[in-house]
Amino acid sequence: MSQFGVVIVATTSAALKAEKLLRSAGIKEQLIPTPREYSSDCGLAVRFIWAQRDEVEQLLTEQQVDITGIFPLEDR
Amino acid sequence: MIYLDHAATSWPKPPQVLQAMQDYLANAGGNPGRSGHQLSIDAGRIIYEAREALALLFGVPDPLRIVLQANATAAINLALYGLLQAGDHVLTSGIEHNAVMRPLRDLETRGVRVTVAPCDTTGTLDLAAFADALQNKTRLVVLNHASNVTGTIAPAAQAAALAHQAGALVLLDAAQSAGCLPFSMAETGADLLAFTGHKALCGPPGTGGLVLADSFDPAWLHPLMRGGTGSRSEFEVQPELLPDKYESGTPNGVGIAGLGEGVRWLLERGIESIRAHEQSLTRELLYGLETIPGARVYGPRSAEAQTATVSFTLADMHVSDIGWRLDQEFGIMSRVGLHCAPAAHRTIGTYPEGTVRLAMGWSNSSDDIAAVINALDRISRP
Repeated sequence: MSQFGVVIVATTSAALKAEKLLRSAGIKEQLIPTPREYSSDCGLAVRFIWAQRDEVEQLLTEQQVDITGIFPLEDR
Repeated sequence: MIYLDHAATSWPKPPQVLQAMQDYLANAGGNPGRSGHQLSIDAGRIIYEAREALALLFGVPDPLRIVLQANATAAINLALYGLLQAGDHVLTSGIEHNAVMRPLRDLETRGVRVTVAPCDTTGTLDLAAFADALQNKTRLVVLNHASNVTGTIAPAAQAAALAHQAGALVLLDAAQSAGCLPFSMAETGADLLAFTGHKALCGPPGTGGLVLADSFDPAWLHPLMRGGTGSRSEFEVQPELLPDKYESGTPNGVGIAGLGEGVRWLLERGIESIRAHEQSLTRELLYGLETIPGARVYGPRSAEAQTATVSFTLADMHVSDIGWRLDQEFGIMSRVGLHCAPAAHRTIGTYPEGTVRLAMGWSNSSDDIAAVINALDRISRP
């Protein structure tokens, strides 16, 4: 089981919006370059603790963040 | 030195604005949204926080509906050229700036039909004539929220309600009102709102934007420019996502950093309190002008019905001479002439000579107003 997950979004602004929302909800997150296996976008993705997946998805969906996908992050 | 040209650009800027711009270049020098490294993320975050501050200012829930542009003119051009097609009808008012009139006159040569609803000589929109001029093919109403010549505040909410009943969208030119008047976008009824950063929002030149109301569907509005956005890079078509759809190319990060700080400064100080201060200065100036021989004041002549922008002329004197003497002999900075708004001057009856405009801001004091009245008293006497 992966420890981290990643939210893939389509724009940098969406990544920054997600970061703000998660941070103010007390959910630990970090912006990372979008992993190539999920998207060829040159932008940012949001890493989070996989155990909080449902919470993350619910919050971001409620706040209308345009999510491309949520995936477990391969351990590297 | 007394600066009374805030309607052209505000000066001085709060020191925090200068600091934010220096910090951006010194510490957040990456290209926002293009790379995943720390300096790029820091730059992106500063820009995002500027959107948040602007969203708070305009009462818009989603910061991504703040589309950043180079100035209000760019935002107005984006709205007009992005929305209008041959056969569409546009209704505007008789107090507009050339930022609106020039694109509209050009669009007219491309088959867009343009009607100008009259304003009275104080620059106030005639709502009955406006309602009559609405047609069932009216796609857009473009309204100046506050005049850059007379300060006249438009009855935006009433006009927008009439426009919406007729099925038209509303673009509000808020270049002179944003940061001066306390309002939310929803209160104005606008679907699109164009603002500039370098006037009452206390930011630097080269900043501004277009705000999209929650109900406005971005599919209606084509981008004016297309290019790199840092998103959807695998596709050679412009992304539909906000704000990227309308923000191609590396943004003016240093300017936006200053704008964000300017808006936060403004929100902290409170637009209501700045408005009250400027209204009190406007009353003093209007009262003082009544004592000047030969002075004629244009506009509503009421601190409630206008911004802190006052236009006047002196009998038998060219406005250019008045402006020159105010500057050279008294160190008072005004703006004379047509103020890029010939339509507005035709409406108030001062075309082609123009007026002397005194535009006050948060940094002015009662002493400044006393000094300008003294100076005008001297200038008006032979």
